[in-house]
Amino acid sequence: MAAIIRLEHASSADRAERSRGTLMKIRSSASVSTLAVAIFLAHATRAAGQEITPGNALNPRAISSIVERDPEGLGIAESSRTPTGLLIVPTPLVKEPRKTAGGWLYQALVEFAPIGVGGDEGIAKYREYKDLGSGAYLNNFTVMLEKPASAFHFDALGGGVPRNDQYYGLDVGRYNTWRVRGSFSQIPHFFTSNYRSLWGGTGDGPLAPLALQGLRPGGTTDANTTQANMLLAISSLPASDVELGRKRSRARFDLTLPAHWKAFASYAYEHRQDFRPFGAVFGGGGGGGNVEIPEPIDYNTQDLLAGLQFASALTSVNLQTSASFFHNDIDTLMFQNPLFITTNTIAGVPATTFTQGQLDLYPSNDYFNFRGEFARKFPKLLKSRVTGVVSVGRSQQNDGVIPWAIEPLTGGTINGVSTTNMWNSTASLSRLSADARIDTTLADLGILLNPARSLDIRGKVRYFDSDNSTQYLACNPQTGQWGRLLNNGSGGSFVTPNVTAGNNPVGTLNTGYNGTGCDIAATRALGLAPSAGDVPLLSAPYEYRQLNSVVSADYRINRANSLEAAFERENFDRKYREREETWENKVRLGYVNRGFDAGTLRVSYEYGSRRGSDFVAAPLAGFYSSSLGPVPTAPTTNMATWFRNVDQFRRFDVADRNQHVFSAMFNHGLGPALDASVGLQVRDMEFPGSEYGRNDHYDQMSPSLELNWQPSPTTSAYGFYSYQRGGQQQAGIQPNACVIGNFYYFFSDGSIQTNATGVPPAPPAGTTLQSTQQVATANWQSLCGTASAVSPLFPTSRAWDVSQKDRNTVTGLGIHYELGRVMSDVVYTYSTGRTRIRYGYNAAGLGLTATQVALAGDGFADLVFDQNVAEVNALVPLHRRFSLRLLYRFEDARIRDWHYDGISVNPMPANNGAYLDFGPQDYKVHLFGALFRYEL
Amino acid sequence: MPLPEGKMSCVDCHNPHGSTTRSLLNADSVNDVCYTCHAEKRGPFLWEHAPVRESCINCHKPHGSNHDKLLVGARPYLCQQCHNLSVGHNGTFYREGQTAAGALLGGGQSPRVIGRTCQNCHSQIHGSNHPAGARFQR
Repeated sequence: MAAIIRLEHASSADRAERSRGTLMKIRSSASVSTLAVAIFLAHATRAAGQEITPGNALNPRAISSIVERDPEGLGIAESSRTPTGLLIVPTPLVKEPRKTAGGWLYQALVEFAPIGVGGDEGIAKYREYKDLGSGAYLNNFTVMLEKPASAFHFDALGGGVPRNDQYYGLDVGRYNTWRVRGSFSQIPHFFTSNYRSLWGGTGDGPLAPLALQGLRPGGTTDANTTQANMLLAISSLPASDVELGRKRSRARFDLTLPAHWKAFASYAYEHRQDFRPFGAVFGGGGGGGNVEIPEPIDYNTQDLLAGLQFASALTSVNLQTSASFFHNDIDTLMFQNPLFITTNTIAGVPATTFTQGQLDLYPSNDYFNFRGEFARKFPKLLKSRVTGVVSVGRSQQNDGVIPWAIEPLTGGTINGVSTTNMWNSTASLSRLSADARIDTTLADLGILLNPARSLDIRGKVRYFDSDNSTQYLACNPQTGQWGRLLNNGSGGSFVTPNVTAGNNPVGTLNTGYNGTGCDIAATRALGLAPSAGDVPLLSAPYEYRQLNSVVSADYRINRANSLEAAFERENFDRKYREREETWENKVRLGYVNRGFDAGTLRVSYEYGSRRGSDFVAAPLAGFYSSSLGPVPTAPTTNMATWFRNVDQFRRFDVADRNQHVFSAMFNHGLGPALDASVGLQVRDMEFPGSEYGRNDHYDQMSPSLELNWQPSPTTSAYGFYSYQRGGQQQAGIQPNACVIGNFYYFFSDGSIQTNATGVPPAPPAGTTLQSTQQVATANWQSLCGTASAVSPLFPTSRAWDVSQKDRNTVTGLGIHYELGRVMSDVVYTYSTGRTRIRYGYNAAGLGLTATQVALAGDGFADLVFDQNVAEVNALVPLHRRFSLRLLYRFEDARIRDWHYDGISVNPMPANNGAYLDFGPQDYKVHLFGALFRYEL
Repeated sequence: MPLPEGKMSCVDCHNPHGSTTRSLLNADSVNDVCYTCHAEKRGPFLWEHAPVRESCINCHKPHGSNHDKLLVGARPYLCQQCHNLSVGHNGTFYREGQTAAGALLGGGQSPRVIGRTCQNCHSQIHGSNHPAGARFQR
């Protein structure tokens, strides 16, 4: 909950969005003919990365958020309603433009002023995506120029000048001939304002690493001394921000061609820069040392799009090609390490050797897509329509692979093999560049039949294929060692021939795999049992194919009532997952009643049932060291690494699932000027075959109420309340051990003891021995792999369960009132969020101490988010063209997140772990503005 | 996501006029929509994280969440909904008392509970291009 809590409910800004309307946006909408094509073709899409939404926090509609209403709307009478019975929102007044003698029409508006902000305006949550601080401010402007005689038009808008959330838009062209659009938007993103950075520098490669300020890289003397030095440094640092900025610009050109054809092309460029919170670890895992670090960001993305559109009365065609080029200017991060770490696997290299760390950040990548869409009407053939889409894409990157280690690791050994200059050059890699590629194919065919006036029948088949041809071999060609040197050499995960007596021929060395030259087939051919089963040898190129078949029908019972029924079958084929195939059948029923005087009732229900092929707990056997040779089962062999998950564990995205979704919405006019809408959505997912992992039910319920009162164009008000409740459950099991030959003793309190003698130990006080199990060559797999009361590896006394319950409410109201020529708006939203986490466990089974149990209780303190946002506006005309806009905005928020409990007083709870983000902060901010508005 | 701040709107992700996807997305898949703004996560990577490659919404709720990064649930429990290996820490029972505050009281700290939790170490959770990146640490 640290930085972001965004609620699903509509906020006041969202509501304001509904009634947005600007000259630019009206013109931005497709021309009538283009729009018709879009609706007809249905699939007409926008290329990824192409659009920019203008606006900012004070101008979510892009133009001024306080606008005059048009008493005549779009020619619609007062209190008129939409076909569904909702009151039509008064539309913004589009004023009559001024006219020159030469026939030019023009119009302009600008809002500018200093604004004053008081309170906690430096807090990250307040500034999260906006830049509202004190100072001069050009809040927004619009310019319109048009010459009807030549059909030329020019529109420009902008706002937030010169802040970090500024935006601009330009739209120029000749109606139905050509059109050029340009836009620019800047978005700040504050992650935290409570950070203590130990570093300076950019982190961009070895020449400019994140350099420690006043601390010795690699630590001093020992971990405790280093911790003391770091705590002193952290305590002396002021809170600082971690933020990044995003600038996005785009240009698009549209051209109307003869014979129903149109052409378009666009180019977009985005730049992101600065830092985001990040983390790094040393050793073989969290035990070796971990520290929060800032990740430097310098991303550039270019998107290109070009296409042709054809639209006649019966036929539509879209042909489109796009490309996206992402470039990371800092694709390798170097940072100096402040910790005194603990190494593992590597011997003979002091911990202080690891003075710096290196991460391979996101690689630059390219994406290409070609898309063809076709639609045709057949008026004489059951009034049918056919649509088809084919889209092929490719994502690829060929970034250089960086070596495992930075240091030469002089004097060190791994499993007896020298590390000196063996891991710090590209000669240690199985490939020099990634050569990674994913090809996608989409084919979609739809048909709509209208066999009777009251009946529509639809059919659709959709096929999507994601084909991954990426692979990496975890082996060092210089040493022949299989596995990975972890965290720049401070840890390792390697497999060797098993040297426990009885598992391999006498005399087998732990270097026995090293002579095959990283040839995995040759290594397997040695027939030597490996030391562990879970060492990754190959990366898995996850890929899938998805086929959806849908049949649906709409039947109009009469003018007011209609029914909908649909059946969908989804087939998923996945490679290298726990399940190769899943299939889901979905049935949906819907009913709509428009027979009310001023209202509509919509009700729908959907049931889905997902099942699949056999679930395999260890689907990637061929990618792991277990594939190198026979299973070693000699006495004293630890078998734990030959299991992946508990047999009864189900990963939720491929697990059996029953899903119910009920949705109802009813709106009704309570009077000529008052609307009420109530809604309810209930979603329940059940995971019937999941004993461990996400299990039981994952559910959500969301009732809502809205009121909208529009007694006149000059007075209106709305209010809404929505509530959302969600829950999810899961269970896990803390593994114990599974050693061939060992005896495991299960006591009545859930505790477990083990020895190799077979002589039961004395039971803990107050308990009795319930069962004794010996792991043997013949039973290790069945005894250890399945969770049970007597499983040595997965004993149910070490099982735990967790439930998470979310509760959210959003309440809001808005009032618009005009007194003479003075307009006023009041908008207020109150949002709350709570997540309650509760768990169950057996303390004796898990070996927890009395202190740990007392602190653990039955769950965490609730995650809490409360926020109030209120904005009051008054627009006072001072002159025919001058107005004064008085603005007051208030925000406050309270955030409680147990992830950050105590960090401010204990940023290093272990002597080799440091947390530098002290967590989210409450804030309260007042914003005042007296903005001058000038209209030309 | 910056919707209330006017930097995004529904049509940045959805096409109300129709689409080949069930949720009227304006791209071929959920991930392709997300890559519109997060092109760095497009990869592909040497070491892929299976649920990430298939669908971002396995872990994220783009329409809103009570949790950091719009996650579906609180970490470390969200990660443990898929990971319960037979060795290591990901089947471990994590609890109150393992925070930085709890550590002062003898609860026994855990980096899987504090701050960025699992991502304190597995910081490259969307995929890694490092030769040692199978656990998304580099």
